[in-house]
Amino acid sequence: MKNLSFFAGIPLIMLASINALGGINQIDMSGTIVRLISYLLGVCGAAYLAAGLWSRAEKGSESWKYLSVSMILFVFWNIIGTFSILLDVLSIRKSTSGIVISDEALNTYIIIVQILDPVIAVIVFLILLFGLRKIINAMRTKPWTVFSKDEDDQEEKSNE
Amino acid sequence: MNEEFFVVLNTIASVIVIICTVLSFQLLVGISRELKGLKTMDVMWTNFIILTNLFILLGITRAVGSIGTIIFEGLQPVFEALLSVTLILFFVFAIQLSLSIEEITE
Repeated sequence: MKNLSFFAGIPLIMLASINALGGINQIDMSGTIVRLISYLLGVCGAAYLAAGLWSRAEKGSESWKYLSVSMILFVFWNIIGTFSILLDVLSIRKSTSGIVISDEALNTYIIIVQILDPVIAVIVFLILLFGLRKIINAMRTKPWTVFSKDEDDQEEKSNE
Repeated sequence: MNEEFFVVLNTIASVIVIICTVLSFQLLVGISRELKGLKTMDVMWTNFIILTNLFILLGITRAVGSIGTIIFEGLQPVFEALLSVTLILFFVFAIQLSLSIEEITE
């Protein structure tokens, strides 16, 4: 019960710390928190979906694996988005918050995030495209293979 | 690294993402046409189509947003808000799709 009351108090602690911020106005900070929460929800949703699609691929068509990999990369994309928000806040609040981090290190992290963000976005959507193409090909040629393993493939594997 | 490098990188990535999302949308239209042949459309497929549409919308919003903010920086909060709303909706439908996939797998 004590633990529950502690978790229930977390939003209040966050709000109190937001009010205590002097450098950033309150509207910006609440916008930042909404973005942060949405990215974290994106991480949870995409990870859960990736696991579901992967288990589907184990029992059915391999094309589901493409979508699963796309979702795993989407998780990384969301994590990078979260880091970029945190770095933005850190770079603004560095002087007032008392966090010891050198400018060079901060700039390096920002550059890494800025390079990784578009690169992962491109890979995510390329894999999604190939995955959807594989699924529609399977639906047109062998529709029974979308949800179950192809018997011919299974026989070939068992012969090997 | 200079600012121009990131502008070029973001623009190229955004153009590729927009092309991929448009092609993915066409494939999704093809999938829903294939499914129209079936009399009853499964809940899983309905969720799958909604989720993929949201994912495509997310990609387009991000790509258009990163190009749009290069032209006019005032657009950034609008695109960020759109991205947040789409991500929250994505979370809801991802959970729904995972649950319906689990039902089929079992």
